[in-house]
Formats: sequence, C-alpha cells, structure tokens
Amino acid sequence: MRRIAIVGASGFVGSTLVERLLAQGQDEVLPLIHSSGNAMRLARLGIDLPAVDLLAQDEIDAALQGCTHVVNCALGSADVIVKGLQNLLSACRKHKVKRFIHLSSVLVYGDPPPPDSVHEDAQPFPNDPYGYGRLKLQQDRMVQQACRAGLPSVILCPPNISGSYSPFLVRVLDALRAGAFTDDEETTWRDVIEGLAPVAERTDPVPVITREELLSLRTAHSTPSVSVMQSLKHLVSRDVRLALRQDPLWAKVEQVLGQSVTRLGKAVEERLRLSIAGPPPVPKVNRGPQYNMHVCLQQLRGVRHACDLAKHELGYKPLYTFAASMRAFCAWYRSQHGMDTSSWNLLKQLY
Amino acid sequence: MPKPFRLALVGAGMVTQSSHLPAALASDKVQVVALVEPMRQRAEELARWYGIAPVIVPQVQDVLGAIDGAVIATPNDTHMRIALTCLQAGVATLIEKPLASTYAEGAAIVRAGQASGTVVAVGYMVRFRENILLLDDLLKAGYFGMVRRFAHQAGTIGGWTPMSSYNLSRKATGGGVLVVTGTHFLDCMLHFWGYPDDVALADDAQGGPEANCVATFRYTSTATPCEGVALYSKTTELPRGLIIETDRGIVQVADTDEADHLVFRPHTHAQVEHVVRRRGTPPYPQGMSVFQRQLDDFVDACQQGRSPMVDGRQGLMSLRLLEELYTRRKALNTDWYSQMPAKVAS
Repeated sequence: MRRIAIVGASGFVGSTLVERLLAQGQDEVLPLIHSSGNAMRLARLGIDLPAVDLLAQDEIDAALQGCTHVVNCALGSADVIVKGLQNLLSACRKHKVKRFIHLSSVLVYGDPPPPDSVHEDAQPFPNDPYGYGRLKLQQDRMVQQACRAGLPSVILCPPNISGSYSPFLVRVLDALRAGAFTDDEETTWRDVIEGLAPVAERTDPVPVITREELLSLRTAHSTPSVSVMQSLKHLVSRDVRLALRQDPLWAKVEQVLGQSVTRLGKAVEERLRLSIAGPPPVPKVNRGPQYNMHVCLQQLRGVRHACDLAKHELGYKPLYTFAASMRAFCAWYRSQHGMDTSSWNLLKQLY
Repeated sequence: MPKPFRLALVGAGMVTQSSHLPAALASDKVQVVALVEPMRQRAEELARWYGIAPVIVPQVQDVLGAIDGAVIATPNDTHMRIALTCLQAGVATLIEKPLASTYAEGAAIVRAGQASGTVVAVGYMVRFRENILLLDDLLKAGYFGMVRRFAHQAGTIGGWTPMSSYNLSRKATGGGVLVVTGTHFLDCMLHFWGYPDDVALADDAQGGPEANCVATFRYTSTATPCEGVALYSKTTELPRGLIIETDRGIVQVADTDEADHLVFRPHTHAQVEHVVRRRGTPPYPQGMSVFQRQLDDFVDACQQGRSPMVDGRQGLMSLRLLEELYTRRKALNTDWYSQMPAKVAS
C-alpha cells in the first residue's frame, strides 16, 4: 500500500486530492496542514490533520516517516515557499520517497500565461507584479535539481482548474454577474461562460465587450510613463505637502516658497498653479458594460490547455469530461449558496 | 468612584488577544489582575505585548481569592470545569460563546450560578451591536409589520484560527460551523422570537465538525407564524447578513460590529429604501468595541445585582437549540459528481 503525504492539504487542490484518495480507499493518506483556519473541509471527515511547519526540518522529517509518495500543494510566505521546499525535499530524500509531486503554477510562464505555455518546452518568463511566478519558478528549479540528484519527481503547472470548489470559476462567476465578457471566434471560455450563466441567473444575454474595446481600455488603464512635469505635480500635490510638513525643515521650506509665490501677486500665482496642475479633470461616465479587465484579458490569449502530455507521460486518466466538471461546480455552488432553498429569493438580496 | 473590578482572563488564545484583553484595557471599570494560561510563555508574550503586569498562573484555582470575575475564553469543552470552579468560589463568569459544548454541561453551569447567587454571562457580543439593539426595539414595537420569513447567512473560506486548533475537533467545539459561526444568530433569533416550534438541519459532517450547514426554523404557535433559514459555510465566501420579510416590506440587517442602522424596503415602493437609524444619543460611546460593551455590562450586572444582557439561562437555550438541530440533522449531498452522466471512458 502506498503511504501518500499531501503537504498543504487544506487548500483547494490539496483538499480535493485528499477527498478523492480517501474515497478510492486504496492508499494510506496523510494530510498535513499548516494551521487549522482553512481546514474545515477536511476536518468534517473526522480525520487526523497534523499541523507541520515546513520551516522546521525536524517536524517535516518526523511527519514523512514511512511515506512512499509526497504531493506538495503548500503555499505561504516567500520564506515558506523557498526554505520550506528545501526542507521538504531534504526530508523526501532522507526517507527515500518513491515519487515527489510538486504543484507549480502556469504563472511561471507569465501572467497571463502566453500561448506557448501549453507546451513543455515553453520558456518560463514570470512577470506577475507580486513575484509569485518567480518564486514558483525558483521552486521548479529546486525540484529539478533534486530530481537530477535521484528523487523521482513530477512538476505540474496547472492552469485554471474547474470542478467543485474552484476559485477560478467563482471568480469568473462573480465577473459574469457584474458585467461583460469578450466573445469572438478567437477568444476562449465561451463554454465556461455558457456553463455558468444559469447559476449567475442571467436571463439577458451576457454583454459583450469587443477585443478592440478591451485592448484600447487596457492601454488607457496601463501605467502611464512619468514626465518631469508629472513628478513636479506629484511633489506639489496636497497629500505630499501634508506628509512633508511633518518634517520641520520641509515645513519651513514650503512656508518660504509659499510666501515668495504670494508676493508675486494673485494673477501670477494662478498662472503658476495652472501650469503645474493643469485644468481640473473632467470626469467621464462609463456608459458601456462593466467588465473585469484581468479576467477578460485572459480570454484574448486564445490559449487552450490540454492534458494530453499528462496522459502520455504520466498515464493520467481524466475521470470526468469538462462539461461534467462544470455541472459539478454548478451543483456545488447552488448548494453552498442556498440557491435551491425556499429562501433563496431572500438570501439573494445580500448579493 | 467604586473600586475597580478585579478581572482574570482565562485562556490567552486568539479571542483574548484580539478582543477580550483590548476591551478590558479600554474599560475604566476593570483591572486585569491575572492571566490564566497553562502555556506560560504565551501569556507572558501577551502581557508584554500590551505592557501589563498581571499575575500569570496555569489554573484559575490559583487566583480565586484575588479576583471578582473571570472571562473564560478557552476551548468549549473546558468551559464547565473552569466555570464551576469559579462559581463555587463566588467568582462571576463571562463565558465565551457557546456556554458549554453540551446542554448538560451548560445546565450544570447555570445551576452552579444559581446556587452561589453569582452572575453567569455568555459572550454573545452581537447583541451589543447598535443595529441589533435597534432591530430588537423596532421588532417589539411592530414598526416593520408582522414578520413572515427571515434568512441569515455567513460564509468564509477558512478564517478563525484558534491557537489550540480546537475548532477541528467536534468533541472540543460541540459542533462545527453552526456552533462557531451560526450560534450568534441563533441567540439573536431566540431573543427576538423565542424557541421555534420546529427545526431541521442539513450539514456535510462525516464524522467531524460540519463545514457547511443549512438550518430551518418554523414558528407555528405564535400569533404571527413565520419561518426562517440560516446558512453557514467554512468553505465558501457568502455575503453576511440578515434579511427579514414582513407583511410591509424587507428589512436588511448588516452583520458587522460597526453597523448602526437598518435598511427597510417597503413592498409598495420597490424603488425606495429607508435607512433607519436611532436618533439622539447612541446607546454606547462612539468607538467602544462590542467586547467592551459586553464586559462593562457584565461588571455592571455583578456590581448592581442584576442579570447581564445575555445570562446563563439564555446561553442554555442556545445549547438546547443546537442540540435539537444536531439531533435532527440530515446529510447534505456533497457528492457533486455522483449524478454526472458524462464520465470519461477509460
């Protein structure tokens, strides 16, 4: 019998895996969690949920005693991601684990991941602003190194994951309730949106924002380049001045500058103000459909991930079709939100 | 000025750290004289963090002669043992909700309080929210009309992480999300409308504490029959709040400590909503936390010889309801794929 440790068992993937393995009943399953806060999905099963600190080498060494397989789904701070994985790999080598499965992220290829991220030979290019992709790439390299040193390992880079509890589908559903999606021959997710529309209780057709509109809005929303004049404007803005006034020296400088400008007369003072700040902004009302930029931009990539490689290389056999997975998500969502109770018409007023 | 009420905080975990100790330090009615915590280092860190120097002891017996009251904020299944020790020594107790992990334990606490003539208060601090106090007044006055239905829900993906992890043990908590999250509303419901005539529960527990549940309630023997539902989750974000449907309209009650108003939407004018707020002096000073209101009420009750806002008897009623719900529980369907015909052929 295999003894499988799932590290980071309380997360979405970890919990799903534990539930699935327990249901199959073929393996000894050891779910390891970091803290109790997120673990109720598993706690409801009445199973032991040992807490392990990945930064404590002795704890993880002890926890993996007798394990033949280890799946790493752990998240955490940068320290946990890097140092924690180092400790975990060390414990796996020590216990001669037969297979180490590491959950990486498609974000190692960029955010949003480019079209070539569907191929094994794509070049990683983590560019997300939070640095998560870079940390995951660093992890991948650590696992590859451990693999070369003799620890049989698999790295999985799942894209958006469907099925019950899927945070990705919840995000798309929220965006669907709020507004528009793109929809043309090139875009993806048409089947996702069609699958979710009944749960979003949208009786009207989903508003469409065209590819061109979205791209022009993205350009408008992108970070502008900063000119010397804009920097000057920022420096003389009220917030910055208020902050600088905390320093007595700056407060004095500002006072002297203010007095000098006042001495030049009202007309000059006003011209100076206009030349720096410009005319007051004219607010524009957006009459178009609302949209979630991040979600919609992912549609434009035209990327269709497939699990063919996992089938060929790892012998992966999908249990359900995509459509079945979408139906499972909808059934789960309806149940969790009380949509099938007689009080749904009251509850939905909270949304 | 009366002598400060000498208070012991029993348990130096999350709720003491985040709520009870800050409330005690903000109150001019109490003096924190003792921290009772078997893990001394944790209590020392807490004292250092807040810059106080109470006595730190491992068990409440060690300070019984030096305190007037104790806040018991320990795992639910330890409440009875600690409360009985306090009450038998004439020390008043403010016990974190729920009163105990079983009805029998709760009843023992109430009996001990009655026998010693000592105050037993239960930490249902939601009752001290301004919008709940206002709702209570207006429901009693029939301001919104006759209640027909109500629905309450709250859901988070995970959340409260007690240091002892007792939340993962059904035995230690007495239940799951219904106890941890839902019991505040159950207490309010009992206070507003009394004990229901019929209840039902569906939850997803399979040997452990439930992570999701739907409870339903019927009031049939009252002058104005009504029914309600309560939905709680530890796996899904649900917008928190209470909705009450009356014969005149819909009342929306925000579920936050800061909420000070209600929203009323009359049936006759769907495009209108009234913000209902108390005029004049608010019942509590602005910025005072609900935990401080609760603590001050507890101290006043002890010093004035009256019942606290939520006394042991009311806490016991909540336990009775919890146990009845669990007795009648049915399983929620959690096999989301079971009715999926489109299995992939192997």
